[in-house]
Amino acid sequence: MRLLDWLVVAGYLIWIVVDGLKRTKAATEIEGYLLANRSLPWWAVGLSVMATQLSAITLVGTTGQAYADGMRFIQFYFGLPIAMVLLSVTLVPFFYRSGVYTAYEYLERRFDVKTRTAASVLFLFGRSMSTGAIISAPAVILSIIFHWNLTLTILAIGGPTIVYTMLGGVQAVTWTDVKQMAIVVGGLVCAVIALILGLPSDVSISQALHVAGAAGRMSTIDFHFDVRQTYTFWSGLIGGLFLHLSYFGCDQSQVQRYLTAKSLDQARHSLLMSAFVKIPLQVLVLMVGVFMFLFYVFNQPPMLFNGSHTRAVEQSARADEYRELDRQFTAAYQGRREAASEMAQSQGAVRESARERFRATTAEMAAIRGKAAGIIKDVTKEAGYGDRTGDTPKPDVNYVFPTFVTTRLPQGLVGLIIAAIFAAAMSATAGELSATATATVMDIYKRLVNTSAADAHYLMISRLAVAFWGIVACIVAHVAVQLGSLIEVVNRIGSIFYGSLLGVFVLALLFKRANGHGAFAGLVAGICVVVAFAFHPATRGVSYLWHNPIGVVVVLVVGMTVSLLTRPQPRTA
Amino acid sequence: MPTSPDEQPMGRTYLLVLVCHAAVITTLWWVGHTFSR
Repeated sequence: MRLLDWLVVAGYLIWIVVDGLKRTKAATEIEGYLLANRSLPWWAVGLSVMATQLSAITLVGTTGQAYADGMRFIQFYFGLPIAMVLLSVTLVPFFYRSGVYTAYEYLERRFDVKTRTAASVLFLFGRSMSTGAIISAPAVILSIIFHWNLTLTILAIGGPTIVYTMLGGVQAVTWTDVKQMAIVVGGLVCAVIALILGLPSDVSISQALHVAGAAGRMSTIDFHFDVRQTYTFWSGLIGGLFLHLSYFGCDQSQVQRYLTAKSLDQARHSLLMSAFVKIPLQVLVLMVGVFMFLFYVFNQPPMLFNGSHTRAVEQSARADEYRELDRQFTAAYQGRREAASEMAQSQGAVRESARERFRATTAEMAAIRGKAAGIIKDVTKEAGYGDRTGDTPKPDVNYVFPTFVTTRLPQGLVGLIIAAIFAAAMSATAGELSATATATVMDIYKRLVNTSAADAHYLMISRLAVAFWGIVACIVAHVAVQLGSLIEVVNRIGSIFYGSLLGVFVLALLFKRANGHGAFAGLVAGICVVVAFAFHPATRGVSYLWHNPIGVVVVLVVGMTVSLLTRPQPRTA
Repeated sequence: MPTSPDEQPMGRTYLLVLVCHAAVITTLWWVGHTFSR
C-alpha cells in the first residue's frame, strides 16, 4: 500500500468510528441502546440487515469461490426471497406486536423459560463461533499484505468495532452499516470496472464471458438432485429456504435489526428489501470472481496465491521440485492464453478447436496446481491443501482476491477495496456483537440472574456484554483461519443449530397443543440428530444445507409426541 | 390476524417478490446457458 491507500483506509476508519460514537447520545436507556426506541426507517434497517449478512467473508471467500468454481454459488440464495415473504407473513408480526427484545423472549411467552434459555444459549454459542470467522477473514488479508502478526491484525479489526458498538448501541450499528454498505458496493463496482479495463483491448466483454463459460465459470444453475452437492437448484431452493427462514426468523442478529423499525410495515419492507436486492448483490460479488478468472486468463497468475506458503517451500528440500512445477505451470499458462485469444477472435471449427485447447490447458494448470498443493501440504502440514474448491486448492481460494487487489490495482483503489473489506467485516461484526449482548442481557442476565435492577444497570451490563463477546470473537478468529474456505465454515456452524431453532418456532406458531416440555425435548433431539447426521461417516457427505429441514422435522415430530404425552399448558401469549 | 391503520395489505408486494424472483432465476439460467456453449 502506498500513501494514498493509507489515507483512504485511515480516513474510512476515523469517519466510521467518529460517526458511530456520535450515536452514543441516543443510547442512554436500554430500549434506545438495544432497539433504537423502535424508530428507524425501513431502508436503513434493510441496509443494516444486508450489511450484517455481507461480511468480509463474502468479499474474500465468495469472490475466490467464483474464481475457482464459477457462478454456481448463486443457487445458495434461491430460497431467500421465498423465506422473506413467509417471514413477513408469520414471524415478523408476532415478534413486532409482542414487543420483545429478543426472538427467544417470545418462546418463554409461548412455552417456558427453559426453552427460551436453551434457544438463546444455542444462539450465543453459534454466533460467537461465526463472529470469530467473520473477523478472521480480513485479518488473513491484512496479515498477508503487511506481514503482520495475526493476533495484532485481529485486534486491529475487532478493537474499533467493539468500541463504537459498545458506546453507541444498535443506533450506531445501523447507521454505520448504511455507510459501510455504500463503501462495500462502491468498492465492488470499482473492482469490476478495473477488471473489465484489464481485459485485452481486442477482447470484448461478451467474448471474455464465453471464455469464462468454456472453463465452467458461467454455469449458474444445476437442476440435478443430489443431496451431497451444496450448490444445486434444489439444495438452494429447499435447503436454502430453511436456512434463510432460520437465519432471518430465529437468529437474533437479524431479528434485532427489524425490531428497530418504526412500524410493522416498515419491518416487513426492510426484509423484503433483501428479497429484491440480495441476489443481484451476490451476482455482483460473484462477477468480481469471474472477471478475476478472466483477468488471470490474459495475465499470468501465480501457481498458488498464498505467497507465505510458497516462501516456506522455497526454503525446503522440495524447492527444486516446486520450481520445476512452476516452469510447467508457466508453459501451460502460455498455451491457455493463446487458446483463449484464438477462441475469442474466431468462429466455427477454429473456435471449437481453440475452445478444446483452452479447456485442456486449464485442466493441465489445475493438475499442476494440485501437485504444488501436495508439496505445500507436505512441507507446511496444512491438511486443507488436500481438498479443492473447483479447480483450486481449498485454502488458496481465500487468497485470490487479496492478491489481485494488492498486486494489480492502481493506487487509491487498493485503499478503497481494503476500506470496503474493513467495512464489511466491521458491519457484520458490530451487528453480531449487538445481538449477542442483547441475548445475554435480556435472556440470561435480566431473566435469570438479576431481575429487578435499574435501567442504567442493564445498560452498563449490555456494554460489558458487547466487550465480552468481542473478545471471545477475537479469540475464535484464530481457530477459524485454519478451517478452510471461510464462507463454508460460517454456514456449517450455523446449520448445526439453525434448523432445530426454526423447528421450535414453527411448533410455537402452528401447533396449539405443543407445550414447553415438547418444545424443549424437540430442540434437544433436533440438535442431537443433526450433529449425529453431520458427523456420522454414512451421512457426512450430505450438504449442510439439508441439515436445516432435517432439524425442523425432528423438532416437530419429537415436540408433538412429547406434548401429546404430557399435560397441555395454558396459553399465555 | 388484526391489523392497525399503519399496516397496509401486502399481498401484491409478496406476489411481486415471487414474480421477480422467478424472472431472476430465468435470467440467470439464460445467461449461464448462453455463455457456456
